[in-house]
Amino acid sequence: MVKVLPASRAAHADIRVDNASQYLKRCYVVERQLMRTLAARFVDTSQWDFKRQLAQDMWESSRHADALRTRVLELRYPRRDVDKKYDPDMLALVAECAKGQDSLEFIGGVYGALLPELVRTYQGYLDQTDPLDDAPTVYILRHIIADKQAQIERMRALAEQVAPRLFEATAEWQEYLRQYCAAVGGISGQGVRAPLPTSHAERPAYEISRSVQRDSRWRPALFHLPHENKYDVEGRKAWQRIEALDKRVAMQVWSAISHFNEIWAAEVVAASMWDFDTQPWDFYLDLARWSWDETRHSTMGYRALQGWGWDVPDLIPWGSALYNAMGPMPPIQRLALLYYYEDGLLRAGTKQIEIKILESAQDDGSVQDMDFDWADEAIHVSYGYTWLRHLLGDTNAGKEELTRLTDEAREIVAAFVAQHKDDPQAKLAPYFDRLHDVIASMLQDIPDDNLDVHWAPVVADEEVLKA
Amino acid sequence: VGQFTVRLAKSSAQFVVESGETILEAAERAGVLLAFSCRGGTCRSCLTRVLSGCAEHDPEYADELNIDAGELADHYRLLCSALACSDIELER
Repeated sequence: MVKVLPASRAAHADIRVDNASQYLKRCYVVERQLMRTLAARFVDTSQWDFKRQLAQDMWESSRHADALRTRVLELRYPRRDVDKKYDPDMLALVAECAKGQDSLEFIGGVYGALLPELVRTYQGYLDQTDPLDDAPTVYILRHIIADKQAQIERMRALAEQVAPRLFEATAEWQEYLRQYCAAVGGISGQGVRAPLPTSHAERPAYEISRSVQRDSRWRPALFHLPHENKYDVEGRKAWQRIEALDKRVAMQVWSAISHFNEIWAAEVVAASMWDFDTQPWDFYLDLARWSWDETRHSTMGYRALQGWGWDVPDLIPWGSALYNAMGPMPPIQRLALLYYYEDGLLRAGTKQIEIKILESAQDDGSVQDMDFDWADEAIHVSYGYTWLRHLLGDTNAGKEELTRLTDEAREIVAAFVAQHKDDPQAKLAPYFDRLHDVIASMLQDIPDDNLDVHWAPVVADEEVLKA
Repeated sequence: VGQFTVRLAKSSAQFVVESGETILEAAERAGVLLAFSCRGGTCRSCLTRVLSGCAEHDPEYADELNIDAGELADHYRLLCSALACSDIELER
């Protein structure tokens, strides 16, 4: 016998550092894979409202994954293993969720089954741990739970407007995913394992599409502004009629249409998050932010166009050419081309000039949008610089390869434009003719500040404009 | 150490940079438009070649800038983070 004091208090359940880190690591793996899956299904989703919501939730999942990963490392989890040894059951669970047959089923599965299960798992941890000893985890999980619940509520509210029977129609799929999750012991791993359900087990692994479709409310369009397509002479003339109203007006409309169509950049980055599976964690964290930012910019444009009271799907082209032209390229080449575009815009001082013109138009909302867009783009160029150097090597050979990839990509895009030059979907004049009349009926007078409006777009590929 | 003059080769614009002031800050004070974005040496919008004279990056955070050794050797500088140490001419 030995002598001791009685225990000062009863411990909460049997959470210790080692099993806490194991529990949270499983959650990290689910969040990481969920983030990548949301990114991919964002690309594949055409319906605008669902699309932008998936992008936001993808970014939030990246923040959740990052917070969990940081905490896991604080809990003595080996640094060398945190991004290895992913629990195969958790990978398989999210891979099953990815197999939703279309966007609606995917959304039903994630928001009707996986996210509620994640919330229960986080709550289960909170119920077991000690709020003083493990206070940093408690803080993180309370915030993640609040985010997840908000995600579920937002998507359900959106579905009510856009696809009212979405969750009822996908009930069977949701139940399959619930059974699958339970069969692997739950996300916590604390449940009793059981045989995997078989009702949908035959589905093939999800693969991301190499081309995007646009929301069916829009007429199919390849391009969105005249600088993309040198062959569309009528489209350029129609745009010049808008410019003739006032170059400030043209800038207001140009920036809104351009912003709205930035979704292609979000798609390129999101697809990279799916295509690259073994990069350092910060690669995904940065690209998640990049993709969500571009979706925000797109939403800024949509908001501005709606703010003028316009029927956006009827009046505004939503192009697919930029993403689809890049579809066959290797992922690194798509990233290289996007970096080339964004870097070129900033080096030309384009954003600074655009803000001055929008200020001259006294369009405070568009100024604010462009100003925050500019700050975001500076971050994106830094991401592109950092990660392309990582992928290609921080050497002269790496720089040369970046140049080669970029030049080749520009040629591919130019060839795509030439190939589609006679396609009716490449013609922008009908849009700008309609838009001209709508704009002309809304113009108002403001004092002339005598700004010498001198602006030209940095073209997506200058080769496209060469005669 | 006092003021130095910065000359832009392409536009022939000139402005004065004070001691301790970055070249970008001096350009803004003088109303000269130079492309920039982040002000932190990471976006590279202001990357510019120094054709003559001396400009060095702020030593406090020179290691954190997105510019490589080859570019430095070729006299490129990030104007948002560069201090003049003589009169200079920039390839702008």
